Amino acid sequence: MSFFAIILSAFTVFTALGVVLSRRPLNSALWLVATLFLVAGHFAYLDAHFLAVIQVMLYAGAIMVLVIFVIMLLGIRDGGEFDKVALYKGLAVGLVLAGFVVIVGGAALRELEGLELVGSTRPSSILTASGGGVKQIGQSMFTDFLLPFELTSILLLAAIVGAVVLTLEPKRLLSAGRGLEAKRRAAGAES
Amino acid sequence: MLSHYLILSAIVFAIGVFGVLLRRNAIIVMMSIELMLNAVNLGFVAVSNHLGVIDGQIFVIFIMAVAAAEAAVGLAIIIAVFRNYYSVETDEVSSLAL
Repeated sequence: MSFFAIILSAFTVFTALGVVLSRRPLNSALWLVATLFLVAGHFAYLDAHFLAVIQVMLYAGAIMVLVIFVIMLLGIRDGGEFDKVALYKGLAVGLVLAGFVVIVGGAALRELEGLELVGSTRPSSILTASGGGVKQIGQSMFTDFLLPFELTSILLLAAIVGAVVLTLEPKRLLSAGRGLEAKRRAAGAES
Repeated sequence: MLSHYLILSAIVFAIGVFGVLLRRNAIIVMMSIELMLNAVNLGFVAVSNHLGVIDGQIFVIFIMAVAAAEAAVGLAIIIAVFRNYYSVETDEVSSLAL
């Protein structure tokens, strides 16, 4: 375990706490950007170079721009305060989660160091020396994972349509509905 | 190495759950969900690295695609809610009808 990874992990936990504990949504968003960059650093450390790049470009770039854009658009300055009930609730939840971390950590320390692959593995999925690069990820994605890849396109299409429909002006949504209704009536009159 | 990263993943995931349960601002709740997804990604990459198999990294790419879709739809819902209630506090939005 290198010193570098431990420092990176400490910063990751710190910035993650910043996301949850800052009062203003914009501060939260900036802490989250920092967390995403640090996770990208972890990816690079774990030899997943392509994922590190994607993490910065897609997550810290595209998704966070979207989030910050919405925060600015709605003009939400105050993220709401922690009242006492929420604080007690938070302490209880925190204790439970600390227990969860201890259990998972204990299991990880005791059992998982000897974790090995069981049975046969597809030869194409074994990491090569330049593993985590574009070449092997592309080969694996367009051979073994072709169907999930194509299904992702349907998911993204559904998300685009959903986002457009949800953000339509209520008036236009209504008139679109009326248009459908009129069409249906016209079709009914014809038949 | 692996156990270190799994513990880190568990801690970040726990912080994300903490945020979802404690905060009432819908945007911060969504960012906490992103935090949880990232914790899972970290676990996937750590196991992938430990076993020397690339499948975990492919999974992470799919999770990122799902996270992008989730962010788009979630933020659209937040905008729609804000139009009707002039607030993104989850406590004040208690009706399902728009």
